[in-house]
Amino acid sequence: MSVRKTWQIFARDVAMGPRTMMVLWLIVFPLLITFVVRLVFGDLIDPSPRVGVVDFGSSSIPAALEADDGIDLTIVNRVAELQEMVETNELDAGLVLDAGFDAAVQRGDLPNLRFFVGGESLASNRIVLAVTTIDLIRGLAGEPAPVEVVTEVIGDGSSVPFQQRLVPMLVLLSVALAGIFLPAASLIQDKTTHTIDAVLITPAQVGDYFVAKGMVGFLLAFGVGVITLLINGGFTAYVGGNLLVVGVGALMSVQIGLILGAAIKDIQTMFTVWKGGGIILFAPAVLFLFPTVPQWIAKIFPTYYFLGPLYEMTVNAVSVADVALDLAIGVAISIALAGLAGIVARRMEKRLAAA
Amino acid sequence: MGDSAIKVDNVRYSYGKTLAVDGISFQVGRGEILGFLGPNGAGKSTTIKMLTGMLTPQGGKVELFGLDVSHNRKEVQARIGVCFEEKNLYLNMSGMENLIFFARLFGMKGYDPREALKRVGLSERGNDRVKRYSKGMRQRLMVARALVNTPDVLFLDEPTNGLDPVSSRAIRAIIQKESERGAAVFLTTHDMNEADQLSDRVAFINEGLIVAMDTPENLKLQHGTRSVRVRMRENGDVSERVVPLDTADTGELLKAAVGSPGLMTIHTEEATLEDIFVKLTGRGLT
Repeated sequence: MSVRKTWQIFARDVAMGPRTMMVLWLIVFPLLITFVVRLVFGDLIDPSPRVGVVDFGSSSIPAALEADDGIDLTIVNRVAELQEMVETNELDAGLVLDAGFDAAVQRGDLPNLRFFVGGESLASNRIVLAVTTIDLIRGLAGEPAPVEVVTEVIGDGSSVPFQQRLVPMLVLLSVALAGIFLPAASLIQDKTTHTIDAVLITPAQVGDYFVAKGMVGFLLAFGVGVITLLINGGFTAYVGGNLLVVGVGALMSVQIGLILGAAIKDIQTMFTVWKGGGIILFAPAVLFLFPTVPQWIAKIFPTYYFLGPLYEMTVNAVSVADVALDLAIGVAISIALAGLAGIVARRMEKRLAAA
Repeated sequence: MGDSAIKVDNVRYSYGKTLAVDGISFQVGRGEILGFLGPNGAGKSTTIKMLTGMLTPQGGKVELFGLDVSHNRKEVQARIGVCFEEKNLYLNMSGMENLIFFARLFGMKGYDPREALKRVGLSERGNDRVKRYSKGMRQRLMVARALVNTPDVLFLDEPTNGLDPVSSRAIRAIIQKESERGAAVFLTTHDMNEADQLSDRVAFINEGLIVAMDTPENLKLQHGTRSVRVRMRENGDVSERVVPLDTADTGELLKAAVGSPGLMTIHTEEATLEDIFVKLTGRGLT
């Protein structure tokens, strides 16, 4: 094998990437799928209630609103500006707190409170803001709530939101699509156009060629995996560990892609195999979506050994050390697949020559 | 023939039970152009693949510049140029990018693609993507690519197939130049005229065996019949007759024809390579 030849083939593929529709699609895909998921499961069309406050004194209410994670607070200087922001639906509601408001409430006076509600705001947001404001004022006055609310959690209290459980699936989609599809499609295309024959008749070896294709796939898979994790808020305090997990996923995907690319004759067959074999790749991610199904089943599938660590790190915020064993198995699987890719590569070369 | 650039000794290859090449032997000298002719399925492609190191012979030995190809595949490939019949160029790259990429794979420092493009008449289109090239332009780029490493042996598989006469002539001129430079040229073609014009020697391969190998002139002399075609007008009718040159009464027949007042034209005729191939194998070249 020659590092220089590998680099030359790699550089060619990277340079030609922007001219290839598939590469562009593989980059756009994670952004698109994240957009769709967020559109369907919230947070894109269902933002937090937005409230603006003009405080002429030093009320404690803005600080209390600020502390509430579910509310977006904007401090405004002038009442006219606040009114305009509510009217134009920049804010759902606006509060005007006169000087000495807190003290007046505590004395039992009935101070004037102006509360603007935007006509275009969502009803749910208006209710949340109104109830929250009343609750805060009641707290200032020291009054007990007129009713006692007993909170009862229904279902598994330890379960995580569906959107969060989707993160491993989204990362897998991005990493697997780029890591598997790019090297496989590139190899298949080079076989069908016979450009691979032209390369292999030069001093470049089949190993140089395969490693270069794998490097391109890895680069893209790792890149889109990181982007997907980033835009889905999947990074935790263990950034290095998060990157390592995505790297293992990209490495595993690339080996699968190279094996498929070497073994499969045309792109139609590739799509058929993808459709049929996709379940093996995606099974662990699907199982994570349904916590009531026994989760040990996921361990049967090879992709679990990067998806499992990814799930634990992104959802349960564990460290690399906590998922080291699964990750090590993932690396071992990747190495075994690399060996298999080497065998398949040599067979492919012989098959091409005999064709 | 000068020093041997290609030496093939009793080489065999089978695909399963199908015998493709059955113990062929020949040599090609430096600067020599060998036309390798045969119908589809005769064993041409398998022979080229063994010569270029793509296939390992199952018997016998192939040497290029004294190196056993089976054991020195990459060293040999660094010194050869191959122009495939399939136009396997990167269509998304420009002509210039294609040449630069392959020159780099051959480790050619300071390679100037503009010179190569000029040589094949593609100077003006060097920056265009190959997918916008015509068939002839692609073929010319294929030849330019085969020459990026200034090869010692050039393998050309149907280099002028389907090309217009101008492109064909340009490629033939390049082949001649390469031969003059000292490169051995291994040429497979269906075009008998091309083989006849270009080749120093031709080899006929049929069913995995070389059935004849010599200069085109010798092959014609050995296997063809020489004759003269005489066209005459007699009693208002035009008639033609072929006079063999190797029979006992040739002199008398020619004397009579030349002395006839009705003689219109007289042409010598010789067998074509295709005639000889048919005669030797009992089948055509296509």
